Amino acid sequence: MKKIKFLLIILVSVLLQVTVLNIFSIFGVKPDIFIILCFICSVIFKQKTALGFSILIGFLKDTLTVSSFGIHTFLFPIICLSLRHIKKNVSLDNDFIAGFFLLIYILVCDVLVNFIIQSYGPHISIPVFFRVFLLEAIYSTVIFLSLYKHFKIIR
Amino acid sequence: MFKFNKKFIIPFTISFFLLFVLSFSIPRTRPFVLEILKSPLIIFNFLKREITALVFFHQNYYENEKLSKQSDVLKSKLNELVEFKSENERLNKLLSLKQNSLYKVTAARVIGRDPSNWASTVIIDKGSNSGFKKGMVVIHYYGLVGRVSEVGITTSKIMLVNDSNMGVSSIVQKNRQEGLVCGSLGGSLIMKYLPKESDIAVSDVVITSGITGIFPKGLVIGTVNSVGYEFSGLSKYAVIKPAVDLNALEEVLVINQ
Repeated sequence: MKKIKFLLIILVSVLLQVTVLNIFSIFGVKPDIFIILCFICSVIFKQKTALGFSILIGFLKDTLTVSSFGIHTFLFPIICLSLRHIKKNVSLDNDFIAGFFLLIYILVCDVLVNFIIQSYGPHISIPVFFRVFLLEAIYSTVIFLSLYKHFKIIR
Repeated sequence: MFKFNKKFIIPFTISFFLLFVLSFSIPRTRPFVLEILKSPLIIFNFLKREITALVFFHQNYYENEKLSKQSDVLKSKLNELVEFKSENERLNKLLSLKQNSLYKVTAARVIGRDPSNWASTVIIDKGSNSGFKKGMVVIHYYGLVGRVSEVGITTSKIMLVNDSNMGVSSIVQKNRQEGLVCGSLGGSLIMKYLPKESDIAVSDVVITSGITGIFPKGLVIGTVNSVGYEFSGLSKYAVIKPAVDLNALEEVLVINQ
């Protein structure tokens, strides 16, 4: 039941991300619901389920964006595994600690994704990069902090 | 510390390989998944429109009042223009001028946007069954929108002019100075490689040059917002405000021919 509920949340969130969330973008930057969901499923589910969900989330993100290969399908399971490893040593029950880790993950993820994007050709100027890079991380973390306590109830 | 157990090597390698295959198969599976997501996307897009109407109610109310006043002024101007048009047609016939052929366009509705902040694309509700092909030019009533980047059966993806992958050879309408308009992932575009001595100014109109043959000549891209010198000091750049509000696109026109 918990898994079905989360699956529905993923599908609705994905559809919201590509439609409604554009209204709430700040300087053209919207929060990344995908990485938030990947983070949450890594915390609240067991390893196999979390991995399955993270692959699905990555797959959906890559399907809806334009990229020549599935960067996120590959990256999200790695995030999931590393987060589960961190969870063994650090308690992620505290919203702010979890938020801090999410912030770090978004920043690292953006650097990696951009490194791959830039290696394909398109050049993103430094000011644009920093605008998106910082705003996305902060905005997503704020959204995560407001959502995290509700997801902890599922657990 | 993280210890890697030897018994996990084979399952780990297989999983890694499968993930690799899945990652590289995404461009092929993408059109089919988009077909499945098309109907929910249309519903959510409707929801988005309603929420937008609610969120921007106050702004829309005043804009409506302003536009109603403008509409009255424009109606009177339109009457004048109808007269000019008929006069122009008569004179053209007299001069035996060949009328420029219009583009054949197909209208499509925007049903979704790129989920990531690193690309600027939209999903539209028409695809190969409407004759769309990769590379087709997409416009709006006000100007250039972008190009078709992927085509499914009933959906397509449009790469907008403000995407960082986009480069449009363009000219300044007033003085025919050439440059390259590039996307900056935001609400404005950058026109690069303008000669240092070019007299480009704020509110100049920038149009497609048609040099590369990808975009037809004369499509309005936007107006100049500000002008500056490149870091090297060898050329100028201009910040362009797109003629089309790319964040509020609801319908687009795809040039078929």
